[in-house]
Amino acid sequence: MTEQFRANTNENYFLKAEGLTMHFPAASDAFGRPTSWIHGADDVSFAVPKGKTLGVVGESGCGKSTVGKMLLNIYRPTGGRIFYEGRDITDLSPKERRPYVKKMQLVWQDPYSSLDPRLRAGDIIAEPIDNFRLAKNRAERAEKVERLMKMCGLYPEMALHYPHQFSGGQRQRICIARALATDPEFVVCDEAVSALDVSIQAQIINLLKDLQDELRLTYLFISHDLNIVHFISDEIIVMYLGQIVERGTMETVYRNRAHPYTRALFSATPAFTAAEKKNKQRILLEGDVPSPVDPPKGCRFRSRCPYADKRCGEEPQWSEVEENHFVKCHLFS
Amino acid sequence: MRAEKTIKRLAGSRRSSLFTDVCKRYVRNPAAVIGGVILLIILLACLLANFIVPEEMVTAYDTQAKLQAPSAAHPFGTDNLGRDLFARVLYGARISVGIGVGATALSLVIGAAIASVCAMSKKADFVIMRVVDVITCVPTILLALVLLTVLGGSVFNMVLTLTIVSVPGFVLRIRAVVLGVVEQDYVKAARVSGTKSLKLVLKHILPNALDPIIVDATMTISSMMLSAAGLSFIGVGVAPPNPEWGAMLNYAQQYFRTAPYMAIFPGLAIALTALSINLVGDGLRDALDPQAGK
Amino acid sequence: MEEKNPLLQVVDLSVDFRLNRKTALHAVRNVSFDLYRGETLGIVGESGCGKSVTCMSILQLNPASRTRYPSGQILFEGRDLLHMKQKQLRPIRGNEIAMVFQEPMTAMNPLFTIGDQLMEALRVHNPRMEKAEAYERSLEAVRSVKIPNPERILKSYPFTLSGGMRQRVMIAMAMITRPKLLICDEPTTALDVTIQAQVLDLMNELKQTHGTSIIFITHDLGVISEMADRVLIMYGGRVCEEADVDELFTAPRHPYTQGLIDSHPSPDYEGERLKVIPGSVPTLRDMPAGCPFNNRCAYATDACRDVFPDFEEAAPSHVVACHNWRAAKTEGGKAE
Repeated sequence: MTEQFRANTNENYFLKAEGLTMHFPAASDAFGRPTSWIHGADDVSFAVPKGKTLGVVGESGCGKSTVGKMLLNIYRPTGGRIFYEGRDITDLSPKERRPYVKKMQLVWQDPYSSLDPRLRAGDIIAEPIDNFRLAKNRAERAEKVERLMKMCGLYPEMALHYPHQFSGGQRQRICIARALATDPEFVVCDEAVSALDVSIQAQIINLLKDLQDELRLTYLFISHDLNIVHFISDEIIVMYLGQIVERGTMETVYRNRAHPYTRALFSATPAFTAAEKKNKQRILLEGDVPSPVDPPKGCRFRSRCPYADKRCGEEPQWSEVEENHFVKCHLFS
Repeated sequence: MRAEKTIKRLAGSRRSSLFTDVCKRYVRNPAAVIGGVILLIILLACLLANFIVPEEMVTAYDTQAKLQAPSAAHPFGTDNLGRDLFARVLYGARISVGIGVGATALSLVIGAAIASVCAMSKKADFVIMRVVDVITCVPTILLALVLLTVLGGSVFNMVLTLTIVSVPGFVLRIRAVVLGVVEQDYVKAARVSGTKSLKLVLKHILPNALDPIIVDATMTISSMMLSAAGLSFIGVGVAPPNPEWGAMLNYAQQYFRTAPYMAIFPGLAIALTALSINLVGDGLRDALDPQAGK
Repeated sequence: MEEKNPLLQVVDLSVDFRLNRKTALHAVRNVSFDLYRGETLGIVGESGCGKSVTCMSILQLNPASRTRYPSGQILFEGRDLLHMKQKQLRPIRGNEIAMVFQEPMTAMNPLFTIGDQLMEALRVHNPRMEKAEAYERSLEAVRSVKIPNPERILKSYPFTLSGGMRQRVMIAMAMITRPKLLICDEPTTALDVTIQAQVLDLMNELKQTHGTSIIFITHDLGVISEMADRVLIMYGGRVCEEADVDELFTAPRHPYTQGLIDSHPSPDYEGERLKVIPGSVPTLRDMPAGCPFNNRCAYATDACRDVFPDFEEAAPSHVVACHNWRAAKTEGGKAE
């Protein structure tokens, strides 16, 4: 079943990850050779169809950001392969990678630290245009910047303002405009709304959805907020301590939460309408997430799992609980 | 309408408007303005010295008028050889300020270049840091003394010596800031946007790292001047007939009881220049940061 | 009789921050609320709405040199905290009223062990307490926040603990003097959801056993609906709605509250796009006159641009400050 999980029955995928693994050196000896490793991501496999959104949820340290950064070559994976429209782009030379840099962009979590405080908004948005020489002259450059700003709900006259003159939501719009400046096909949204006020979050999510429809973008949407991921995603992967524990389409996973961690995660998300509160049973997990330097042997969730027994000392296999809905748990094998 | 205008401005001269922003913020700070004015006067004095006093006055000695107190003919008095101190302090400014600015600028450029290499490559960083460690093991004064003795005392050699001596310090300070900036999201964001390494360094990393460094560097100008003065004072610096301020202090010490003005005026010149440079440095730090005005 | 008197009464509180001689920012305007014993009051709002400033005023923790209180009273068991001298406040701070902050690391001294800090907290207010007794009480406090292996935790330093553990220790530290009022400023915002669930559960349990009143500040509607008995919605430095928690979520009256609830993607929401409040949260500098929400409100009329509305009772113990809440009522509130 593991092979099936990795091979990904999804035929018409656009971007595919196969067994992506990232180990960061945690400590090293006197000669700089690593002696222990942080398990950032282990055996992460998924495929996103064109124009769809894959949601990645999990708590801090689960490796969800690491996955996004591996796809964009910010981290070089220690194992596994990445396919972009069928082409293996894992180990490309900088020159070969250049076209993929253009096609794959990132919207950052913190709109306050991801904009250079010394540049004006217009120049920030124009930077990718300059990098890839997408404008023939200054007039065309200014026109492109204006179009991008309008598209992202900014007034073009704001192009001359510095980042600190914008509110958080506007800054995130600048980030999105910058990400779209190269006409990308694939955008990673790494906690793109979590730093924003509630009423602004909804605006940005709508903007992302509109842009997806308009430009046929494919998203990898990383978030810890299940409600938002549920709203925006077509497919979802749930991660815990560097591993995927459950994967499937959003609806199947939401309807039929299989893995104990997924269930706990859904139940821990606070409900705020009375109806929701009534239907909800709380599953309280014991303890903290273990250290990723030395994750538990076997099933990594077993130190907090309410159903853990001695089987869980062995690594669980993947099982397909329904079509295209994979769970990594002994309960289903 | 307004949008069109701003777009035009965006397409046009961005540099000048950024510059005016900085100027506006600078002018709001009174201490910085005073420092700037003093520094400007000193710099003007350097440039226009020829129009104030003829250059021959620097070395022309009058045995009849040794060690005279300040008077109308000699506003700062005369030294032990009867040379006009006003002319010597005035022309000395060229040498002292020149040494300070030259050595600082040179070490800043070299230091920033080396620190950027450190930031971009871990291997290069390791090698460079070990070299810096070795150099910093040698006491600075000793190194400067040895270099100057070997090279011989001239203005150029003084600049060279001071640069060599201070580059490791600059590398350490700039590297510390640069490594912090490299970790910032906006630098990573620029890289993801396809910005290549050299542009990344020049456009994002150095401008953001240089703020604290610029302030540091302006302060260094004055300490460079003081070091040069010190070395000249010891006697290994700029060779005698040249009116370097530190060298002038050196001669003055023998006559301090009888002719204190021989020490007072060059000393005052050094202090005033150092002070004004520091004030300007402080003002620049605030003006360069777009968020400081808020 | 005792039950009838509120533990804390905030009456017409306004807070200004002076920027320079000429300009002052109106951070909080005419905020009033009552808090009864054993009750949890949630204060919800977005950044800059004045929720934290209001709570900081209770213990006069706003930066003293810049803060002015043009009006208001804060009565804690009848004593006016707002006009007390710092010296008079000292026995109340940390003893009768305790606080828990968002980032527990900054509230702890990294150079001392958890045990030292807990015992210090006790002995500041009871100098004559024996060391052994203080240790026992600390141990009990740490045990009460369900930290496994409490003896070891007392000997460890703050940086060795995880975020969830630190927040528990903070709660233990706040609760150790058995305060009558606990002010929590976004206590779970920095935590993961499963850890947040643990901490919220713990706080509810502590509230039940000790009868402590809690003021709970957050921007997260979900958290507030699980924690609070009553909810205060703040916007632009003013209270715009106050109601019991279930009433507020089923029948929100203020257009801002409705917008806030609607902009949350709830799991059973079917639409393609989320409902949003247009525009952005105004900063204190450019707060509009009249009702601060008027430039983002779908129901805004001329009256809204001129005067801030009076509070009206929309239902028993449900007050709303909106000129047009009746119009908003008929359309808004999808949860109904």
